[in-house]
Amino acid sequence: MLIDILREINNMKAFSKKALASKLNTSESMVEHLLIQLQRMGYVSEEKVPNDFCNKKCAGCNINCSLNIANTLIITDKGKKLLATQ
Amino acid sequence: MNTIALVGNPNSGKTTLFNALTGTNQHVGNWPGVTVEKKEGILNFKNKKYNIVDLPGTYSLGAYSEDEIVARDFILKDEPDVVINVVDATNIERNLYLTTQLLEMGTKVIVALNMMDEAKEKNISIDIKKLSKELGVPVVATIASKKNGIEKLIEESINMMSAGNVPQNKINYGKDIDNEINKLKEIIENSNLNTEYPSEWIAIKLLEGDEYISEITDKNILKIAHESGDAIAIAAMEPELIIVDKRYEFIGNIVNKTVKKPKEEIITKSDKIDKVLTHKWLGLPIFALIMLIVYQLTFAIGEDILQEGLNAGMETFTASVESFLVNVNAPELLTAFITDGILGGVGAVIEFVPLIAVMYLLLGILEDSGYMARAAYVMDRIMRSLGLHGKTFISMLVGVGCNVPGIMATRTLDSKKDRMIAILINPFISCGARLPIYLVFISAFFPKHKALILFSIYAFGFLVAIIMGKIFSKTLFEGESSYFVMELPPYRFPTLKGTLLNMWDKVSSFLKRAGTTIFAVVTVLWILSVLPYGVEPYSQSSILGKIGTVIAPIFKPAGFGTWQASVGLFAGIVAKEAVVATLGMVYAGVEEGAQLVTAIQGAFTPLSALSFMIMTLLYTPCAAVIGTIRRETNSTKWAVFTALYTFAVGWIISVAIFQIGGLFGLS
Repeated sequence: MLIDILREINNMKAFSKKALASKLNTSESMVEHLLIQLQRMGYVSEEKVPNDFCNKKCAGCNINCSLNIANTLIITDKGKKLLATQ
Repeated sequence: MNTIALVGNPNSGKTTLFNALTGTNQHVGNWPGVTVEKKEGILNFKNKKYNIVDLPGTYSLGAYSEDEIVARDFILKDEPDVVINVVDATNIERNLYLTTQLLEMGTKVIVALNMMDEAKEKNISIDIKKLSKELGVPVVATIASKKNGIEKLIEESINMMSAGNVPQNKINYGKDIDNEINKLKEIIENSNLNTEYPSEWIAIKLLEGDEYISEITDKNILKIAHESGDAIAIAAMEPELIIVDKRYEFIGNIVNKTVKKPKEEIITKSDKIDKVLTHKWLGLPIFALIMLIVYQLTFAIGEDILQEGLNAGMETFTASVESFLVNVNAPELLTAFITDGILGGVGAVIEFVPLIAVMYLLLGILEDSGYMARAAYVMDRIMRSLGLHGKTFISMLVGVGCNVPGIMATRTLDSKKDRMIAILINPFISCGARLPIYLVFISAFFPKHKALILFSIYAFGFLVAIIMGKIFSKTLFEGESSYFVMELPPYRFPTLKGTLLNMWDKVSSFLKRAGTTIFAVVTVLWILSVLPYGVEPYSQSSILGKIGTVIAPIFKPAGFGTWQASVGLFAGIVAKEAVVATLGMVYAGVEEGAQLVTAIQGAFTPLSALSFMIMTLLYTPCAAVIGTIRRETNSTKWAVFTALYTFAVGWIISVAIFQIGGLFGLS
């Protein structure tokens, strides 16, 4: 299941948890759970832009870190290595 | 007193069940040594008391968080008489992962299949008897919020307490892994390892690479565990992955046999919308159209409706202040400072708050609806085709608010090449502070095409950034771009509260800066504009006028070689809002937007106004951005390079616009 989701993500440029859940015949909450597992094991890493990088101390900033433009997922080298052997 | 522990995923209804069991007999403390809350209570059932412990909500029992360690340590070390595993029936697949880990621990488990009413509403049917058989543990249907099934759950728990060892179903990890688990278990049992954990569980955790267990394990056992791990690893599949995957396989088989739920729509409404909004060819024009509408509405609502009221208010306020100062015989210089300097300078910036508020409100709605992620996806494709990293566009989108966080957002880029390019081109993205400049000049010279001109300026900034990025990737930084996948969140209706708060965040920051940085800049520039003593204020003979006169020839080929425009641009290096504030002040006697617009109409032509706007879009970023570049690149060289090359790019393009426009007979 973990490898299936990793493979699906690798084949996509953009993903929605709903679409992944449909493809894997499971629920969105399960997809969320599986993504957390993959992150914990270091196969993917997730970043929320710019929230992960906002420290609310930027001089001259009128954004106040309230934006959340995009969440991105990167398949790590470990993840790529795993996929290469499948 | 017998102890019953409650364990379950967050939001599984565990605390509701705890409250239903204990009523008001509760006390809250902390688990020793950690900041995790410990809740305990007393259950009175058939004249007997039971200690109920509510363990922290957790999705698994690994060693990734304090909550997980607290929960698993309590189960394994304190050995409660029964563990009630609260499972959310509407999310059974996800919740059963924790159940599998409890089974591995060999503890006495009862599953409270909670939220059965919600499961029924969602047409999820669960064969409870079969589920119990497959798991090898009792399963009781509950609705904790309505206290349904609680008595049966308590009775089952009491029965289990007195039942002795209860055989449970074990997860089949496959022959190879099971062999290694048994081998390790035997070694652990025969060793001097003194832990309170069961040996089989330690064996599984060692194969999983559990850091916490590895630390307390004897080095020799750890070495054997590593050898066992190597033996079961399949190619790049680490033992942890294989074990975790086996748990999901176990869960999948059980769910297939016991749970029936309605098939979800394969192509959702979101998918249908995405097909259009992220279309290969339509995606970009749709994005452009949406942004054009945003700018159109900004002017329609912000300027035509809101700004007029504010202008009138400012006009009355300035007149009242001036009349008050005259009546109290305030020194002429003080009156001039307050009316021309502060109200003329800072006031000129504040008058654009309605437009800025409307624009950020609309952008906030786009963000909250989930559209911005689609826009980033559409642009990602274009960026990649140009050899640039898609995340560069995300940092550019952030830069629309302010280039400082825009540059900070480049931290998401893994490769140095991608990150350096993203940093160097971000200042070309027009931040909110530059907006008042465009608004003044557009109102003065392009009243019929306000939205189109504003849209074109922003788009031009993006275009220049992309072109410079391409040039840098071919010259300064070479190498491959890394790959990422973007999440497209579900579409949703933005909440009024959320979007208004988001807008207020930006407006309040803008006002704060007007009252601090811009106020300070205006004060310094005003002093320079009335010195040396006796000089005609705001004239070319003042110190400010002389500074401007020295700089002005540089901008003559671009069509705005006046000392006023020059000091405006110069002040913009401190903060971009200061450009309008300075222009408001140096055009003496100008106190509010409409008059500033009139003064500018006398000093610029449409062509030189366009050239000036492009210069302010592209030239040297403000001091905060230069400082951020120095900090993020850890190099003064790159900060200075950015300050200089952006000025050069801005100047070249402004000159080109003015000169070429002149050749075509434009003025």
